[in-house]
Amino acid sequence: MDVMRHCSSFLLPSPASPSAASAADNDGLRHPAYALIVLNQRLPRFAPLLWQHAQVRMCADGGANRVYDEMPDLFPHEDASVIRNRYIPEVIKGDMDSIRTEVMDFYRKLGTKIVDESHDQDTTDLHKCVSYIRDLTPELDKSNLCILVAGALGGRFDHEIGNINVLCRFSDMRLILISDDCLIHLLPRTHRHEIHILSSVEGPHCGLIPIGIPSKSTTTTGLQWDLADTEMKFGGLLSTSNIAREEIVTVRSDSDLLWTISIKKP
Amino acid sequence: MSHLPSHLGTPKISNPPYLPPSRKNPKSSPSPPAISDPVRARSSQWTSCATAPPSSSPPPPPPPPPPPPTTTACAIRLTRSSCSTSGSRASLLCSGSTVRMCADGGANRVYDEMPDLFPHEDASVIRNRYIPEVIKGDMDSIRTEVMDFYRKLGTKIVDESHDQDTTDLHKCVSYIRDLTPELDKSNLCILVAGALGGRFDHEIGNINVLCRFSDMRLILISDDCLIHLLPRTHRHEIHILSSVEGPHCGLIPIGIPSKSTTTTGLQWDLADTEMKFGGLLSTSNIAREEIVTVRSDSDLLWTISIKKP
Repeated sequence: MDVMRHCSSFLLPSPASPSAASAADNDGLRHPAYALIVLNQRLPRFAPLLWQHAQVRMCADGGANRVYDEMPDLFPHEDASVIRNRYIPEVIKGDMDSIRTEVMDFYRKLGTKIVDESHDQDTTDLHKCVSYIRDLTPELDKSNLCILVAGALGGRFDHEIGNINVLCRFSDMRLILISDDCLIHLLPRTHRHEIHILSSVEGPHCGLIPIGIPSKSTTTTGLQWDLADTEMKFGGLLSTSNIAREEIVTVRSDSDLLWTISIKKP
Repeated sequence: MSHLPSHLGTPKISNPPYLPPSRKNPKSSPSPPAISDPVRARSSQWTSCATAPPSSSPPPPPPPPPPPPTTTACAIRLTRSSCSTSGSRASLLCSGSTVRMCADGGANRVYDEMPDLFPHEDASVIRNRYIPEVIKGDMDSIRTEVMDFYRKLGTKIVDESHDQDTTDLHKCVSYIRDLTPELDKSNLCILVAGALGGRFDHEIGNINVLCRFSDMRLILISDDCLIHLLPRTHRHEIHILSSVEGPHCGLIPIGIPSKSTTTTGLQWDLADTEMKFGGLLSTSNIAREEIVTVRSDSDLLWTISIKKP
């Protein structure tokens, strides 16, 4: 079984140049090419950092309102209009029922591509955005693509679940849901996983959750309460409030799991 | 105090301000007569339920719902996110409840944030009005001065720091379930504030408590929505109170896929439809009618949005 490696390098200070995006670090981990999708919830406090790491930034509908309104708030000592002109998404996509007209006009004039998908009511805005990024050729190196999603958690629970379901539907892609408090991504059952913990920015609180079906057998190393061929299911044991004890956590399971780890406050 | 909406039933304490726990609790109202129709009716009115297994033939038309009984409700306040619910709504949750518990740092939240919900009143008056009966948990979050404040006012402090195997919510639900004979548990409904948002593993741990106590009525509540379990053992009638909730709603098969779910009353009804993660889930649905019915082969989470004031 192949190993899949994970590292939250998007939480570290941004690389100096785009070429660094494909360089390998000492562990042989290739830094992914990042794309960022902003959904319609309060921006996390490190949104500018995610923005800098990303080669493509998309707003899903009202996510554009969030960038317009809240990026300046993250730079209280700078002029709002300077900030707005610095953080311009390449694309705004969705059914356009939340974005304000003046926000759409502002970004359209600055060259943002506006893609109106209001005819498609069968998929969520996040699903539409992920499909769009996946179909973008050849601008992104998709063999090493990692899509970061801000604003997918909290708020209405059915929205949150709909966003988690996008992780499951696109299980062959690297998709990370990020909030101020934590991040979530899928660990597909097809791989053994090595999760490199960057303890300066994340952890130690973490969890493993069998999403969709029970897991008959999961084995881990590097956690405070490791699992050893352990069964997990809703109504029974789930690995929540665990602690990442070592620099590398390994996970092997017979079913897809969600990995979640806390993000440290500054 | 202003008139309470009917969906919270007759308030337990008819004349707030709330008095400390030494006051004798008023008796709960007698349960309404059982409905013969084999359906579990659910709403904020908490009409009674029967326990007959789901019928495979179309149900007979249900009798008109009985007048809402007085619910024996309990509120548990967890430590997590701050609550920006208006003061009137927070006091509704409290005054409709027979027992109020704080799980560990939930006591900090009540102490610090209740006064914020009544910005025109004196903080210390508010603090003396909203006193939990019990504070329980591993006590690693509650501030000492908060614990002392409530202890002096008669709150029972139950230190469970020796038990690291269950979450604070789990401990509190067990405590309430074991409370006898103070609560009418045949009609008990536990409301939980602060279970959603924040760390995702905490949120999942709290949802797992719904699954572990699937024979109890447990509702997780945030500013934006509420969640509760619809056990597969019953057909469900959900009475939508459109003045305070909806229309956005969803049905989620938690834990295992659902091979067959059938609903009425939704914008996009399900008809013997399969639901699973990685496939179809009923999210961003709309409650179109006053009663939504759900029947499924597996446990589902029901979620509905709560209206902003």
